[in-house]
Amino acid sequence: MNGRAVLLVLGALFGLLAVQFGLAFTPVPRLVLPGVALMMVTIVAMSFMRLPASGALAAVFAAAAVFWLCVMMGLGSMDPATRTGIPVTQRDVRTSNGGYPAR
Amino acid sequence: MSELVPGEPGAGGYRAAWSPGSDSAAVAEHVGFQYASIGHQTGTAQAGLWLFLATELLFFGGLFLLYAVDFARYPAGTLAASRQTTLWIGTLNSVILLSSSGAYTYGLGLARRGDGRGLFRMVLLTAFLATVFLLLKGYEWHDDIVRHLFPGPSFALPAADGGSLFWCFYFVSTGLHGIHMIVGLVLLAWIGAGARRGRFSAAYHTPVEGVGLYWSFVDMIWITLFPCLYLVGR
Repeated sequence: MNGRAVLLVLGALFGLLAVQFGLAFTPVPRLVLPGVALMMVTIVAMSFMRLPASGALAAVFAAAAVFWLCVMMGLGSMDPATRTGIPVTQRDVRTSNGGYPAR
Repeated sequence: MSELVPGEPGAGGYRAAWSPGSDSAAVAEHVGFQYASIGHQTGTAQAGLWLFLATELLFFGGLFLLYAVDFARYPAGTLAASRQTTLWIGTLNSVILLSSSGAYTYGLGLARRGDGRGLFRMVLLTAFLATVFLLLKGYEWHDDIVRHLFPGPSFALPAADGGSLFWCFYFVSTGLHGIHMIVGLVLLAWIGAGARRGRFSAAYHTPVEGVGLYWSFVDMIWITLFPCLYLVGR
């Protein structure tokens, strides 16, 4: 990248950082903040890391990484995201059945 | 002369139609025996580094999963704990790290044009910014520990509402990121020494490309950590 392109990308990244900083002090949902970070990460991958010009093999590795990351995050957060009846910390682990109602 | 044409389709983004032995003598000395040309070697190195970064992403992904689960379980405690982080240092470090990535990428552009001295200057600037980042982070850690924010018997926040989990995540994630930065500094020193000795040219700068990928990845991790640690509770 030449100097002008680097400055343009840096300007976009600093702009998004400023937006993210400002949004942190407003009552927007907190998920918006890592969402802005995701945009910044995408810009870095596409510009500084030149992902589009890195060839098919690199793109496959990058896509596989994102795919398996989504699988891990999805499966890992499935239980805490969907558990409604018996929060983990309310179980009495001293009882033989872990606090569940007796059968 | 080599057939090095970055950006075109082929292995790792380099032209695939090399003819063995076509590299100049100066470039050929950098080419391993198992490669047909410098382009083949560079493409393979790039793809290998992307594969390494994929494993790194999954490594840090586990940490972010832990954070998400803790946040879902203790939202109020996580937000309260986040408010204890030193915002000005986190923000300044974000600006510093983004600037360092920009400086290195500019240096990489100079290397592609054969400007070794320009590359050396940009590597020096990148290393300087990285050092400032680490010094600020060290000061911040010291300040955090003095304020009893290191999880343990004298932890300053209520331990039962997830505050200690947040600060465990804080120290582990920033510590791992710091270790990656120290590794990056060693790599920058290696690239800087090579640039100073005139090792890199427009035709051969494979290590410069690889270290650039690594450095940008370290930048990415910080970009993701910053809102999770510093902004979420404001």
